[in-house]
Amino acid sequence: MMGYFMYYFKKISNKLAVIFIVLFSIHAYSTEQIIKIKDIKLDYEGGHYFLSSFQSISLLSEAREALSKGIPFHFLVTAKISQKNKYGFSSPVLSKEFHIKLKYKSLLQKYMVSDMNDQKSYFNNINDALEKLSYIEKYNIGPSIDLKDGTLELKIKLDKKHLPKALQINFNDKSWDVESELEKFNIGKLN
Amino acid sequence: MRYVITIVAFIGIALLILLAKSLSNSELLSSDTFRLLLIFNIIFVCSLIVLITIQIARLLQNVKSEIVGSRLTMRLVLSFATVVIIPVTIVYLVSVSFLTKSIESWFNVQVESALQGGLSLGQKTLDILLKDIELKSKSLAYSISAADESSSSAILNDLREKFSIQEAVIFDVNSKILSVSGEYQTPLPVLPKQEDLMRASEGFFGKIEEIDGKIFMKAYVPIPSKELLQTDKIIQITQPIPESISDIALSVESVYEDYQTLAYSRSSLKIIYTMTLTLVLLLAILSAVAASFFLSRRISQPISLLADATRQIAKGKYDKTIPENSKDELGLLVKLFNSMTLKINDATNSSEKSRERLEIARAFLDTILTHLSSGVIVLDSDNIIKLHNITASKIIKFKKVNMTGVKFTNEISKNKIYQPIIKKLNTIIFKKPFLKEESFEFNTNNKDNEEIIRIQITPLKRQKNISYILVIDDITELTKGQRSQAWSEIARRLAHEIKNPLTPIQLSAERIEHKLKDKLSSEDLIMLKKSTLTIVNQVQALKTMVNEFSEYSRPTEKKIEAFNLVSLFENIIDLYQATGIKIKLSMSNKKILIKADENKIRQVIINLIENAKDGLAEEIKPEINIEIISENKSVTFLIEDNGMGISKELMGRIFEPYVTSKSTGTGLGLAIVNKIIEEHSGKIDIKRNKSKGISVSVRLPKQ
Repeated sequence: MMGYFMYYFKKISNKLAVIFIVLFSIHAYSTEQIIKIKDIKLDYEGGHYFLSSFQSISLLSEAREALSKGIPFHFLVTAKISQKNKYGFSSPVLSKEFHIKLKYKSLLQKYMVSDMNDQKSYFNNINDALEKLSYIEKYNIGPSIDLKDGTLELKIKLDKKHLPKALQINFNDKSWDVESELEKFNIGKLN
Repeated sequence: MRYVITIVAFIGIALLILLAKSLSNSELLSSDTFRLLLIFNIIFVCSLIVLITIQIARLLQNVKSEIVGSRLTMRLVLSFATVVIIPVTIVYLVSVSFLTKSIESWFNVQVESALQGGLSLGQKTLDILLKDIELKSKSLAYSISAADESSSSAILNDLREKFSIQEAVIFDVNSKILSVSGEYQTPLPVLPKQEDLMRASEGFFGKIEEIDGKIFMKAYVPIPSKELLQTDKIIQITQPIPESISDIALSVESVYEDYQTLAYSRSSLKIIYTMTLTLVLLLAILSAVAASFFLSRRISQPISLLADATRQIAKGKYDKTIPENSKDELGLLVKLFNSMTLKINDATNSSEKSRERLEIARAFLDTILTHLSSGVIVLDSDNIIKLHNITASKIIKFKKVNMTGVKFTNEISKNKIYQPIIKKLNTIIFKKPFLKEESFEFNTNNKDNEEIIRIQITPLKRQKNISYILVIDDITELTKGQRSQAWSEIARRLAHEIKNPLTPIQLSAERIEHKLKDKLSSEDLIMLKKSTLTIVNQVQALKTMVNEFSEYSRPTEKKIEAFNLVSLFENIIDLYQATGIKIKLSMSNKKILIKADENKIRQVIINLIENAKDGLAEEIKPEINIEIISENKSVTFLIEDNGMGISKELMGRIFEPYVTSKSTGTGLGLAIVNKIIEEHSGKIDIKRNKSKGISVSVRLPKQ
């Protein structure tokens, strides 16, 4: 009986070690920034605001492997225009969220980028696909508002809610912490 | 506490259920919820560990402090914990192993190869179809190139229909639509991307895209120019993959991707499931251990209370009761214990009251015995003293105050004077059954003093044991008093009966002498005178004796007044200066006043000095030492001589009338002295000196 226990104990000892490490280690939130917003532009045309931006996106090997296995990556783009109220506090006046999807199509053996308008582009390699993701071109984020001294805030991150459940729960894995800093851009009185 | 445990148990169960639910990929619970649940569960586990650690520490402390029931509680906790931990651990180990194997079993080479093969098949099919489109598009391009400009649209239509192509569009290099032919009347075709057109300029460019769940092939082929061998037109062919193939290919792709995703998440899945199982194990074990503390205490509490109560009862606290909380066997035991305690308490109270009554009775008896003038000794059948009072100790002259437990005959045998008592006791008590009262008296000479002791023995039969109550009375004084009274009566009668005829006898003798002195011869006359003188002298002696008896028997009247005792002694001593006896007087004060009848006291002193003088008749250096000692309320004077003294046999009866060591005398001197001293509430003692002579001590009160 004891031998049986020892056998199973040895077999699962590594797993137990991992479990206990996971249980008792303090999760250090990743500060590594893999999306870097380099340029932001907000155009006003025909009573609407149009967002354009350029950002570099790099993925760790773990993420690239997951992508190659067919796991789709949904990047959440959050654009927010805020301005100071009469008390001097900044309050949002316009907010828009949209997704850009990156997926490897095994059948076609191509990386597919689906933009905010669900326009699909296919690329033979991931770098081309990431290149495509680097540009947001004139996306309509909303109608014009009475803006006096506005600030545009932009944040792009990998939306982990769309990852498989097991990867979401495995909160000790930093491979999925793909996000930019909250970039702020003073737009003044645009319209 | 009970509610807290119930609430905590419910929280734990709820957390476990929610954790398990979230694992089943429920849409209701997001990964964030799972994390929160995981954290809550971990906190819950940690709380349980802390709780159990505190409980263990408390239990160990209780065991160390030897608190009743702590060891039983520890044993129960260990038993419960062992009963839970072993099977749960086995289940856990088997479950983890089973889970790991189950997850691994999802993935195997055959399935992966089959999926890979299916996907490859789909890819190959698409490649073949794309190759087919390439051929068709190139054929179409050459045909259009060879035809006139005016007939190109017709050729395009014909060949498109011939090749069963869905749509064919001719663009120039600037993406301007030159001609369109489609299976369906569609609005303007989607313009090609510039990069696609550029790639097509190299001869052919084909691509496959998925649009709205359908797979489309697009082929771009340049249309050769007749003149310049340049390409200024490009034909775009759009052809959907047949639905039967497309659906299967997409389905295979979806399954393949799901499989790959699952395979990729395998390690995470194992960790999560194992972690969840571990949490469940920990929660189960820790909850069980925590519950075991509660249950153990619940089980051991009545036993602990019983043990504590038993200890209290052992200490004599019989009013200890235990609350009856349960109706099981332990409850019955507690009930019976309380009933027993109540009865013991009642019996103890009753016993205590009896004891108090007994104590009071004993104290009462002790008081009586202590103040009783008679000595009381209780002996058991083995001659052991069970009880005696102080008076008995004084009369028997025990060496210790308390002689309880000592063998009576052994104790009194140390003194020879009690030998008669031992003989008597041996005769009447210890050698035959003695069941009736008996009384006897002993006359002892204790230290030159006669003592008369009366012992009354009363048997006391208690069941099979017989005790003996010895009531001992010192009747010396009583006897002496009786004797003195008897002598007084004799003296009175003698005085009365003898004194009356003495005077006629004397007168008759004198008359006979007077009548016959002239008638008798000289010889007869001499004899007559001699006889008459003898009669007169003897009558005179009888008169003196009768007077003394009369005085002894007659109640005296005292004339009490204050006088200086020292002066009285000095006056009396002056009378004896001519006797040749050396009388030495010493005193503490020159003036010691007492209130008494001076004449009587003078009579006492003279009598005592006379007795001393008589004893010194044959002494070469006769000495009499007189010492007067004044005390607070009394005065004592000692008269010592170095004469012949008094025999030991007479010492005990020296104050009795007609007891004397002298050849002449009535023996009433000391009796009268004793009487005078007693009438003055004093005390007289006579002792034989160690060397020679006697010592008389007289103590008189000053007032």
